[in-house]
Amino acid sequence: MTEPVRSAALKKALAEEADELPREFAARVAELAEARDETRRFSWSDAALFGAFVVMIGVCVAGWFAFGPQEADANAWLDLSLRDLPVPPWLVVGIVGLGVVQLLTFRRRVRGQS
Amino acid sequence: MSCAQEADEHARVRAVLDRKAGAFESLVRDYQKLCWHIVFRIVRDPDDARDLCQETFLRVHRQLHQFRFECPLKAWIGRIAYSIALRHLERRRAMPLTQLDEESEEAVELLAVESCELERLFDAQVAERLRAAVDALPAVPRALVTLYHLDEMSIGEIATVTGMSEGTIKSHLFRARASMGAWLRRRGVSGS
Repeated sequence: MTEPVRSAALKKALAEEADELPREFAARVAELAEARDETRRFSWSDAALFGAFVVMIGVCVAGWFAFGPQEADANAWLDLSLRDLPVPPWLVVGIVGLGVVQLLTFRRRVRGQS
Repeated sequence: MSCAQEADEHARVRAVLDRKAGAFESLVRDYQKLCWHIVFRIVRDPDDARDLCQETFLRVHRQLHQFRFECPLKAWIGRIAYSIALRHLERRRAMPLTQLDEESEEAVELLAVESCELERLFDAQVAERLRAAVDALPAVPRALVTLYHLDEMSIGEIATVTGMSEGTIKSHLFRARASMGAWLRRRGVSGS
């Protein structure tokens, strides 16, 4: 099928019709987009920070149990029942998941900018 | 698209992704007309069109890192605007999207419009009626006519925007033109 002929008359007629976007539309949208972007970035950095915090606590607890003094007296200040608690699986899954999400997000951003 | 244009697009996108001051605002300014043409032609309500244009550019900003330069930036932005406008219309289910009404169908069958007829009509100072004839088309052909005749997009670019095949787009454009010619004739506008 051949291409339809472009109509100068139609172009002229349609071009005469001005758009009804406000004059400051571009500035307003850019401002809004950047504000939303900031919020999104904050939420990601908050999540990353929280993840790092959880990992840090996990490492400290694990280190305590692995290398801390084994005498019961030394741990008297610590509730002994706490030592018997195994690390809940959901915590491990959560931490690993968070790490994977962060890694994927980072890769996606890097790829998007390259 | 030439190499220079392509390099320019890369630079613009990079500037926005790097959050350079004013980069996104400048991009919006350059493409807001195109966005308006697509959205307004489909939804025909200025208030809705303004909101949908804003939504379009917010999505552009959010998804720009996914743009892979496989098509011109304007076609990519157009596709977002088109899908947002179409979804809005489908939610409302207010009007037919592609079907010509009975009157238009009849006109298409009856009339084969010569390629120069609309130009002849324009000479007769009927721009207003010409716009009304475009408005009388269903939403999708209306948008296609605007992209092709006003924004001078190629059929390939329009295919990227709408996701339709090139043959379907050409068919819509021929039929829309015939339909507009018939519409104008019925209202007594004639170049002769």
